[in-house]
Amino acid sequence: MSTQPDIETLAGAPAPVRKRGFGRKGRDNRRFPLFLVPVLIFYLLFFGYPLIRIFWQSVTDMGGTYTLDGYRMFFEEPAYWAVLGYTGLLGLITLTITLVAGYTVAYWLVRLEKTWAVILMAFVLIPFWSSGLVRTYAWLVILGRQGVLNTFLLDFGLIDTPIAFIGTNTAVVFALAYYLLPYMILSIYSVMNGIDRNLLLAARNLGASPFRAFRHVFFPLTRPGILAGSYMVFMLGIGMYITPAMLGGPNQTTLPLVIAIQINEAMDWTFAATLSVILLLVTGLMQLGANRFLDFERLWGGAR
Amino acid sequence: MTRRVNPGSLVLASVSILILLILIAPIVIIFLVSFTPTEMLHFPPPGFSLRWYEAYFSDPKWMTATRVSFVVAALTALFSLVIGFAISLALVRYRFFGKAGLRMLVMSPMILPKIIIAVGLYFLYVKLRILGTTGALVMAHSIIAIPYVVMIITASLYSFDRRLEWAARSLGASPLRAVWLITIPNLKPAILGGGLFAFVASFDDIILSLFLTKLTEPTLPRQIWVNVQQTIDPTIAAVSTFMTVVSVLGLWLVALAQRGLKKG
Repeated sequence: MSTQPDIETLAGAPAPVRKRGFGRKGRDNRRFPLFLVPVLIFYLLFFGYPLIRIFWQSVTDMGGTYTLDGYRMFFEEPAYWAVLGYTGLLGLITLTITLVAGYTVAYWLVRLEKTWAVILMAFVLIPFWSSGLVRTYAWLVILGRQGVLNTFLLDFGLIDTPIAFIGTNTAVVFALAYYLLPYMILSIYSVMNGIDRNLLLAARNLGASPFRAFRHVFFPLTRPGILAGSYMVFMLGIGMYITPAMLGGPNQTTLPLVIAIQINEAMDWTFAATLSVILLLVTGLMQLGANRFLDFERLWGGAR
Repeated sequence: MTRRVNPGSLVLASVSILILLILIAPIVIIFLVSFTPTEMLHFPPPGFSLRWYEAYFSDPKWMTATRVSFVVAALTALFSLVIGFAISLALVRYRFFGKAGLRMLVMSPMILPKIIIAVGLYFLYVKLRILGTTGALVMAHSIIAIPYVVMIITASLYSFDRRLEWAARSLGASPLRAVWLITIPNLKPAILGGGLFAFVASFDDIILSLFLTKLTEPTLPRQIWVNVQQTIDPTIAAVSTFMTVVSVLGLWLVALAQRGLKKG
């Protein structure tokens, strides 16, 4: 066993294991596994029904009569369009930042000596493994009015009054990118790690400059990692609730935030359901698009 | 002998190191701040004190939340393992109509916005009048934990040498007995890993807890959430450090178990 770091394993997604060439396919049981029946009942009740219920709730009022008020409210009020736009924009900006930063770090790590790469990988994995709430709270501690950063700047006389970081777009974008960066690094790194270095040597041998070898050989091979990482970051980004709720202000309202407000404060189930359906449609469309060029078999641990 | 330093590599290295430092900084800062002796969040802390840990461990509110979190996470791990194992077995060993669909169904909670699952379950639980019960939260957490369990167990099932099982069968064991006596003990690292993953997924969850628990019996993340709205007192830093240690330790054990699995 080499000391090669197996990032997919560390990140919890074991690398797909090649099946043994043992004529396994012919031996697969062709009956429907009956022990799946309770499993399916569980999924029907705790996953299927809630999703159907959201659709149904979005077209009925609290009394149970059919209504399209939820959708009318959404389409007639430009403020909600703005929320949808802001959510998508936040997702895209986060994606861009994590892609640039993540590719850089992954590229650097993959070229390092393996021992160093394993040690430095802890800097990615420890945040990846800790609670999102804790990590967001940490930014509150750092960026708050009496936070670490302001105290530091005041102590050194760089500013006279504390800067209000919380409630700005910058804080939300930064914290969101911070939260999602490990996903991107791990996706790209695991693909880069699997690339045969001899291909690059061959390109150099044939007279390609380092840049040309990178551009025409290495980079295209990292595409699956880029796609998988981008997909995850964007999907998770537009569904995030904690970060904008904790670090944003009234101008950083995202779709998940409005949904929570409708349930907890406005008690408007119909509208909450409508907004959930819209978020579901956005992610569903993304999923369809992603299916076309993403190898989910690989992404999801090689389960065939 | 001096090596020629490529300016490109130097820039790459410094930018990467900076990003890695930013990644770890908040966790280090929270860790250090949790030991501050002052009422305020000072960094670097002017001294060392365990008063905020004392405040955490002596406050019945925090202790209730901690207990709820541990109980829910443990039950989630158990339940997800049972369901996840059945699904993995079906996915790896059986061929049937709708198998691809089943995999999609089971894996989709990983990428579906959690808030949608939370809202749907909220509607269901209000109707069934089980909102705020432990069992209801365990079911919700299982939905998001099972994908991890399935990912780890299917991978391990694929590499499992089925000849061992066939040997048991040929010696007269029933299929169920062969799975119980041969397959499950051999999959121990994967089962342990999957269980720990499910535990952490439940332990760290905030969104589902936010919608589906009672305010009198919140999980640890929800209690943090409630306190953050009121004050930024260093107790939360102590609780956060505690939570981070639990999750990182749990998932580090997963990595160890997985490595053992590969070697074994």
